[in-house]
Amino acid sequence: MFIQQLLNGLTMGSIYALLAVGVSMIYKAMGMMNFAHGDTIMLSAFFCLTIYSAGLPLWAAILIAPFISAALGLCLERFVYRKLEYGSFSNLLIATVGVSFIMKNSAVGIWGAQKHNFPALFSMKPIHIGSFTILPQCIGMLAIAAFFVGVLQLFFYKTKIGKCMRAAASNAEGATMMGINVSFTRFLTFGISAAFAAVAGILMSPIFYVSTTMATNVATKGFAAAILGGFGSITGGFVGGLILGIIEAIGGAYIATAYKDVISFVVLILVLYFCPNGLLGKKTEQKM
Amino acid sequence: MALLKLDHISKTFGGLNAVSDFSMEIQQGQVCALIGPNGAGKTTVFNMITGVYQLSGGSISFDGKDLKGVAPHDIVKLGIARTYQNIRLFKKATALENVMTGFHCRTKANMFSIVFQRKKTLEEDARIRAESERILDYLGMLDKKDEQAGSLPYGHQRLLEIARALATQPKLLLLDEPAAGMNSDEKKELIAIIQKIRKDFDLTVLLVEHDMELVMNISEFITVLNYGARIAHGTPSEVQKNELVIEAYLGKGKGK
Amino acid sequence: MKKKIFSALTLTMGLSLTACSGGASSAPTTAAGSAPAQEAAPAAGSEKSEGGAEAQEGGELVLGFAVPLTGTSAAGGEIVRNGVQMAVDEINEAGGIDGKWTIRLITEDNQNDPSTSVNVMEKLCNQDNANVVISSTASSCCLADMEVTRAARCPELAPASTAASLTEQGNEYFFRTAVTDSSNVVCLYDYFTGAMNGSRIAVLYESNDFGNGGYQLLQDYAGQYNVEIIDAQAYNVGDVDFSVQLTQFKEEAPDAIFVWGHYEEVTIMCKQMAQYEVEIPVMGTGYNSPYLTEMGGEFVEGIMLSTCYTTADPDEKVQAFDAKYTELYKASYDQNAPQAYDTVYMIADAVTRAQSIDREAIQKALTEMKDFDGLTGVMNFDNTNNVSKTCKMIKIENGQQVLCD
Repeated sequence: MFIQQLLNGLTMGSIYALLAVGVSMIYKAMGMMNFAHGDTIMLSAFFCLTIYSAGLPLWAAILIAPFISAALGLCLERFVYRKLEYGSFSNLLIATVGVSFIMKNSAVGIWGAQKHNFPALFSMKPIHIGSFTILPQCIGMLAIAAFFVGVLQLFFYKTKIGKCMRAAASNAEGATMMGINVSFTRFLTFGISAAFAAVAGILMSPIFYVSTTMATNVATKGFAAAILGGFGSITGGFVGGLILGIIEAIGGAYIATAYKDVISFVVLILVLYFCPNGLLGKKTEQKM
Repeated sequence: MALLKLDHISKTFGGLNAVSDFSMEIQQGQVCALIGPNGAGKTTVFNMITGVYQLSGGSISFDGKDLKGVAPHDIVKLGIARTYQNIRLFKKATALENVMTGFHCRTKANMFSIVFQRKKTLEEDARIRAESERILDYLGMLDKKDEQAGSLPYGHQRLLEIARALATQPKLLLLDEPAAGMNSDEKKELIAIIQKIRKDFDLTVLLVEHDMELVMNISEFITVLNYGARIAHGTPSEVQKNELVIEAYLGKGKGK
Repeated sequence: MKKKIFSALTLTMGLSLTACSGGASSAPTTAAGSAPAQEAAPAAGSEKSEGGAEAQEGGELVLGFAVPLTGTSAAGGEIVRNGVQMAVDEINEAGGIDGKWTIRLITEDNQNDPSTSVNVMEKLCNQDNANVVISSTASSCCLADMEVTRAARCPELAPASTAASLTEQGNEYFFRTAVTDSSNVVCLYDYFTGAMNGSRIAVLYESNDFGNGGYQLLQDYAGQYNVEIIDAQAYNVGDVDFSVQLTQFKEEAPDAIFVWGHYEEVTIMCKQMAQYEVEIPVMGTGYNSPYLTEMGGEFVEGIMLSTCYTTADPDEKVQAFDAKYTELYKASYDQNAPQAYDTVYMIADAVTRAQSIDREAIQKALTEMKDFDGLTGVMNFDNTNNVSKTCKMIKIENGQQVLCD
């Protein structure tokens, strides 16, 4: 039963991994947290659902939605975030909180508070490994999350744009002095992270139902998973997500399922106590 | 024709006149200094040259081109590089990586090319790496190339800033208090390096400095700012004897 | 200048706030009129309902009705109001209660807010001199406004509030006409031990008052029915993963899984049961909603639940109500509408038996109600003024609700 519960943990774990990778990516490219990430996920899911309900085939909806999300992300950067003083970290942070509220309430206004079904993306038949059961959707999501980890690592460490983003996140003025158009890299970052949020939203929809609150709680867990794995590390986010999912399942099974959330956060605090940079974060002391 | 020409530039912040009616010219190949008491407006002038601040009045031209409306990162591409008073290195990257970013503004490597033009990209990458190592070696820092920039000693961090600036292949190098925090040995080294790079990289240098000995030693021309306005300009010996300058630094009534 | 603007703003805000709460008491009333013809204050001597000193010849029963019409609970309040309105109109069209008393319905918006509820109740009891009131609102508001009715000695009936504490206040004027979970537990256990011949159950319940209350009742009645609860797991509202609980249940193999929850989680549970091949019957309550089949689709086929009201009931009263409601209001409704409808008829029944619209008379007649047969079952009040109803077991078959046999 222990192994089965471990495997059960991977279902939510893969979702947390996906979210944590998105959160880490934003931090890597921007040096900050985007509190509207969960709501971008939610809006993307609605975009996809609306396109699909309008009659287009599912694959078309899945392909189009990320572009709409990316466009939304780009518009937000261009018309909202850019207007703020980029020098002030906290201004931008609060702005994302504000955008989050606006997104939530607009969604309720447009689509209502009702939950909506979304077709399953993977087979419903379980896979049996020995006496254990694992769901195809779990494996599918893990594979996709892992794929994106690979792609993003490649992007950030091998391409010029990726490196420019990291430079801009590390030190904006320094990056400008290297000829990097920091505004543009931020512009792109919002677009890319929004597209990524769309992927997460689409994968989550069959499990969570598309609704205006679908991503609220999981987004927080995604942040927690990113911290657990080492904030800013994309692989760390992936690992952190899986571990968080497993802890929840084991904690739920052996302590109490009603306390799943509490257990996860207690573990997070304990891990941070012993490894302040997260599990995969490098143990470095900063020179003052 | 002057490489850099500041023509009656001024900058106001709200009600404060930080810089007013300031003019200056630098010729190709010169090493010039901009000095003045604290708060005189020196860094403001630098920020105006590099496009960080918009001019409230006047104009700046570089190599014949008007810099009005040009974004900071594009000014870098035109050939003006700058170091900062407080270090703006990428602290978590290695020294070598910091220098390599300087080259990247002049290269192309995107998702398409790393997949489909792999060989070309790798070659370019290797070339940049080699060039960066050369610069570090030139400045005597090759042995530190794989160390994290943030953990280098302070003097080395400042040198690294210069190395990074050189990587952008500039024509004009603006140094903002490059000797701050250095001891006298390091300062002697700095003077030698500035003179060396001016020659070997065919540079023009404008520096802001408080250390008078260094300034007098290295500059061909000195411009003096006080309260945002130019009060003197000339060779080191001329400026040293200028009464307004003495007054600005030492206060009225305290003559030599 | 700034100070003036600031004070002006504060003043405006203050005025608008008072206007808002003031607005509540000027919500639409059915008939603008003077105080009712009848004396509302109970005459001390006439305790007897039948043939009392004030044998009343007819007139008007003032029915006060507090319900949320604005705010977050407005949608639910609307449903209850429709149920009440339907019943009142029917009775009046038929000539009034026992042909003698027309009902004057005074509706007030309590916004589902405790302090507004108190204000509203005071108006209904003391200004409008209602003979009896219906309060449809969150249990927290009921707890507040029942103090007003207790002091005014006015019977108050609540058709939509489920918190156990409401009938534990020792307020003999308060009657809960909403089905309580004890009725559901009895119905479920009856069917489980009877038609299903089962003895071992696992329980999956919401980790809040509703779920905890249900689980507690299941435990309380288990001995009586010889049911063994082999495992019980809670879950939080909003959870989407039940694999931990379900895989555990699969191994423990109970005869049925009892669920105390709402359709959002239950549909996901059923989907996961299919995915993990957990083939155990599911029964319970809380998830009776048109959305159960809409969201659950094929996965909720065969699920059973206990309810006091279902359109699968071939009873012509139920069918007539359903047809009429749908025609009048063109919207879907939940069991609160028929419960509210039944409540009005219960009042009518009490008045008819008491032959009086005195508050005290009505209160006594209600306590004496015996086997009232309404849309939501055969009903009696127990000694804490909780209504007990006979619930029905239904099953989802081909996306429709059908009665279990």
